[in-house]
Amino acid sequence: MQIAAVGKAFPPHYYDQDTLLAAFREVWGQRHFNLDRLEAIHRNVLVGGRHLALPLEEYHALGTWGKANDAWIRVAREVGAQAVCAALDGAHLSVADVDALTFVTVTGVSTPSIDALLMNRLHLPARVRRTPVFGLGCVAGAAGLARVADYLRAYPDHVGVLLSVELCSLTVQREDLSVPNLIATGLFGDGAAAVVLVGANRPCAGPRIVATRSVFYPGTERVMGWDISESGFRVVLSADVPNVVLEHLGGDVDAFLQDQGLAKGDITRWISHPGGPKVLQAMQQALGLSDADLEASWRSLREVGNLSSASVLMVLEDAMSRPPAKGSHGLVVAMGPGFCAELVLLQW
Amino acid sequence: MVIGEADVLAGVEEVARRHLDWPGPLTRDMPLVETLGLDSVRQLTLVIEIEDRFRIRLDDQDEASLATVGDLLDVIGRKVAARAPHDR
Repeated sequence: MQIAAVGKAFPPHYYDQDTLLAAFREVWGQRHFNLDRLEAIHRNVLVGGRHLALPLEEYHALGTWGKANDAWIRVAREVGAQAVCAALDGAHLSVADVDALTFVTVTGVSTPSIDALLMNRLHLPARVRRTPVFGLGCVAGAAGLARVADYLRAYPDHVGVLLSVELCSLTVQREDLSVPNLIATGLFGDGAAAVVLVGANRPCAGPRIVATRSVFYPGTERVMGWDISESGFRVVLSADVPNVVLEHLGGDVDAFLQDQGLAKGDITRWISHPGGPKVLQAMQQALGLSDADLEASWRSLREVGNLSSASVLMVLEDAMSRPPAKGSHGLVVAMGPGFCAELVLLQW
Repeated sequence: MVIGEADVLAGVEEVARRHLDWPGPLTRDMPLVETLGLDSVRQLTLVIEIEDRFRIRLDDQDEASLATVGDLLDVIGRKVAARAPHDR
């Protein structure tokens, strides 16, 4: 299995962090006495700006979860279609070549699912095997790569497309004054990424998926996730996220690489979900890496924020655009609700 | 403006009950971090809720000085007494 191309798409509404902060100050000004503290939280996530699904002035009119989710469906279909087309163009393939479409998200719900809406929107072949996946959260980009690779192992002549659409801004809870929500409103942005993967009988120039691994951490259900309230998704984000990374990730990566006859020093490209500053710092500490090793992740965080499952695919796109020497290894690393990790070993 | 320690304690207990799931009474000698299970998110929650409730601002130095519930009560009392008239 190989990765032929990655395509990305963003909604057209981009705002720098100062503009977004000013809007939040307006919303929360009546509720919080010390707004400088809110500003400090938003600056500490080191995000410079974010794309939003809607123009900023339209958010206050959403009002209900239903209205927000209707907007999610409409925008997810558009940016999803753009990302899939960009990825297929990059792979020099057409929609007629697609055999399987896996769709991942954690920011909205739709039945028929977005992949079904894209069957019509993009005129995909009726034979396409669709797999919508909801709930893996930030890990779904890496997990999606691994699941599509599993599929292509069974069907080496096939083309599989992974699509991630995350419109985090449409999950914002304006009435939730909890610290996890304050952090989330400063950190998460909107975007979509699609990856075209091909089976072994359709060789291409992109990196080969050598091996994948899933790791689940029992008893960590409240580390990260959603609580579902009458107004939608209420974020669960504990201070333990960096601790789980520090406790487990180094050993899990070592064990995975060892099984492939490799060690961390053999990895040329680290393709890590950006998470947030504390998560990236914990990853660097756990894996013995420098800022430079995770530079693409830090840059993605700065430029567009945390896009949940789409983020690691954006970092993958960056690695694909500047490929290392032939034979070099890359490791895709992401963690998410469960709590869990997914590792995908690549070789160019 | 002066506020009695009993009122401050009652306010802190309500914050702890509503936002940190602390069921019982608090006493001056209780260690803050251990008693309320303060990790970074919960500590920030405590500070923000205290600031909102008493309409005060706590700086880094204030936070660093908070070892016990009594320390928190003292800081709140001092800040409330010192705050500018327009903040009252």
